[in-house]
Amino acid sequence: MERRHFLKTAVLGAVAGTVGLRGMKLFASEKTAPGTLPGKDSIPDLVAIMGGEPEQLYARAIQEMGGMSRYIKPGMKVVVKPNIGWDKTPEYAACTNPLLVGAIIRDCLAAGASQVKVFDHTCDHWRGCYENSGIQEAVKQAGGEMVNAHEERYFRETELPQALRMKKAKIHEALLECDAWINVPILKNHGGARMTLCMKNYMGIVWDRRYMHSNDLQQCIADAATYEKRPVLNIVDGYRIMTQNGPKGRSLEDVQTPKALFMSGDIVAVDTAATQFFNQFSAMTLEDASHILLAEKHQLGTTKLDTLNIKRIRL
Amino acid sequence: MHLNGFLKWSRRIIALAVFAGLTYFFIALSAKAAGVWSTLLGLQIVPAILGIATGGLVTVLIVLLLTLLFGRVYCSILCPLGIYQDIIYRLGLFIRNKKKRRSRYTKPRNTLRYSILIIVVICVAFSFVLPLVWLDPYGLFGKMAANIGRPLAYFVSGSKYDAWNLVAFLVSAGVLVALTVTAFFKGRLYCNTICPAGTLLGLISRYSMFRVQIDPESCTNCRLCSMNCKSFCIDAEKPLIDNSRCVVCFNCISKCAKGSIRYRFAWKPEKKRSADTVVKQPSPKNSRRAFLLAAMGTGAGIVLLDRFTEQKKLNISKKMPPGAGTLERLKDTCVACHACIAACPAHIIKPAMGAFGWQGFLLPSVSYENGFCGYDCRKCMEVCPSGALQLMPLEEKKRVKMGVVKLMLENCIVEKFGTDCGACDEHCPVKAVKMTPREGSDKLFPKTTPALCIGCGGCEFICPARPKAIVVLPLSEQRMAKAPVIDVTIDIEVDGFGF
Repeated sequence: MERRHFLKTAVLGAVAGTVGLRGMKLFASEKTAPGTLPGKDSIPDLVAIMGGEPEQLYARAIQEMGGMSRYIKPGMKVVVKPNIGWDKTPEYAACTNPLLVGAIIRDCLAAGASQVKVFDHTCDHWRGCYENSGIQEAVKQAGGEMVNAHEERYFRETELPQALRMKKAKIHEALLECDAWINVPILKNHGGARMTLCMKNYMGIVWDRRYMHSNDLQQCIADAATYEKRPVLNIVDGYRIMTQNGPKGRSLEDVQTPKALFMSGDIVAVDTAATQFFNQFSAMTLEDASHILLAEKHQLGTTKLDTLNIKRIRL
Repeated sequence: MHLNGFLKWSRRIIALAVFAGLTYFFIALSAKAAGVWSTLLGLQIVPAILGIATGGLVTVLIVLLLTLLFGRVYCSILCPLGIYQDIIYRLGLFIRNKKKRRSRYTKPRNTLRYSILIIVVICVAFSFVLPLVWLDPYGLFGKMAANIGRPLAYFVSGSKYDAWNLVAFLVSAGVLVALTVTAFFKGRLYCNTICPAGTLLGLISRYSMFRVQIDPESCTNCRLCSMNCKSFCIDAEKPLIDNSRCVVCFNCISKCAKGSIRYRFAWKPEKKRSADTVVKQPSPKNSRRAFLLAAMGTGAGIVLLDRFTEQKKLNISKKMPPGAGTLERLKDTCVACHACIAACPAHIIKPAMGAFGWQGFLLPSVSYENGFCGYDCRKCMEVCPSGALQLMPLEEKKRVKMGVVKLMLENCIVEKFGTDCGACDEHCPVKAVKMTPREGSDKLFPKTTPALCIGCGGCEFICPARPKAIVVLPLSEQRMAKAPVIDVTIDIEVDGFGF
């Protein structure tokens, strides 16, 4: 079943790719730069996009970033790591949008990924999170594989030599074994870390979150992000965002729907951008969400957005 | 003959299906499907009697009517413990030397069985359900399956089982061994001497509409029927069947070479058989009265013992599962079948040891070492067959206050180390604990609003501080928590990205 599904997706992807390329050629004259895909120089460091449905936002953003095939090579084992921390349905904006997760998985498979695994070490009971977030179903539909992360046996101790506080952590085996991974958090406020974005999303690949909470949370988050296998892409889901009572939320009053998405290879930059975007809804500084600054100190990326080539798109 | 074979096989198939279903529920079922199985649990007579006010009435009427019409079919096809004993006895027949089988009629132990029934009835009438925790066949089956089978299943699958409890395991194992040995050698001895449900239904089944009866004209006293009776209730000499002990398994009917035993309509007025089949009490009236008084006295004594040792305001050391209401109510309605323990996906419900006093031994108690109560979950209520955990709409369950939060700020990570934490706030579904700014600090500190707290234990479970900075104190009387005031915010429109 899985193989058939994969083949189907692969064939569809190939067809779509060919058609897409032909389309590009046809309309090449209308574009500024000649050629089929944007060249290396024209690829922005960060794409910020607003005003569309989750799949639309993603499709346009990944196109600007040069297409998934730049990041995922045929045969790669891929992990897509959304935030599935809470037993909440998508409209509560507690977990990453399932439509976005599905679109990413399909794209990875179309780019030739041999498998796409999805997991999160959830806060609420894992089964409720996997099911009610809609992500389990979306993953299945897209041809990915939902894997367990609710027991310690799925995690293996890993050294974090660059870290200051958390020098080693138990990291999920799927992530340790994959060739490439994509980090897909949802944009929310957080009572402890202040913001929960790409780096805070690392807490779901680690087994012992109590250690992180009790040993300088902000530093531990930055430390976790030093894990040597960096995500090839960081995609912040800003379709629905949680502006108060995060990260779990209490009611729909905690949710805003700006229909945005941020994508970058630079984890610090994308978290910075998302925080500044969030600041428009509710006051938030990088000094508050200080793990972003600490990660910059770890040289994981830059908070100086003005030094970057940013593509801003309104659909 | 065809009909009898059909009856016997129907009985076997239904019984095995029910047994397999219940065993599956208690041992291997994931919480997801637990709701579906509540029907099967809902057919159990003892929990239904205890929950007669909360939806058990239908089951009670169905089982009583079934017994009045067809005899003790409940014991044969619905009672998991009865079916288990049948299976063991049947296995015993394969092992035992067939030549050594003899007529297996035993006299009914009336004094014992009626004493137990009277004592149980008195206790239950005075809201003291503890005897049933130890005597209800379904409850015993549940305890064995949940405390032996379920941990074993988890062990085999390599998963961690957080509701493991050694004492409950040992107690259940003791019961299991005792019952297995009795069933192996003595068939349905437990059902016909100790089980209060069996005795109660036996009172009805002697007058049931259809009964298994022997025709003395054609009977040759060959004892084949008696040899094959697992209730040991056929006296082949007379020949008579004690219908109060017969569980209508139909085994005897198919064995009878003469066709003398039939399952037939027994309410024919012209035949005076029904009077004959009732086993006469051999004892004179005086001793019967004496034993009756003795049983009633024992019952009253137990009730009084309970009343005197019960503290008026018991400080319980563990939480009760949601929907229990008061500790009183839980003790009045729960037979400790441990269905809730099996159904709880978070494994937070565990058999109580001393947490609810000695009368609450093995009742379901809640603690948060390994998890917390899911805000959107009410599996325990869905499966509870006696209504001890009262099923209620989800929105109501979300307000049930199982305990109340207590913050010990001096232990808090933020207070102690000056670093961010917020794990409690993160897990609180009602924001009864919220990270709040404090003057002179750029950090956020937990602040509690106990009126909002539902005692789900998310904060206590996740709090990384040692000792815990935030815990949930049990309440022996569950209340409704205050509904949170939702801060209404208007939709914010933004034009730019803000950078």
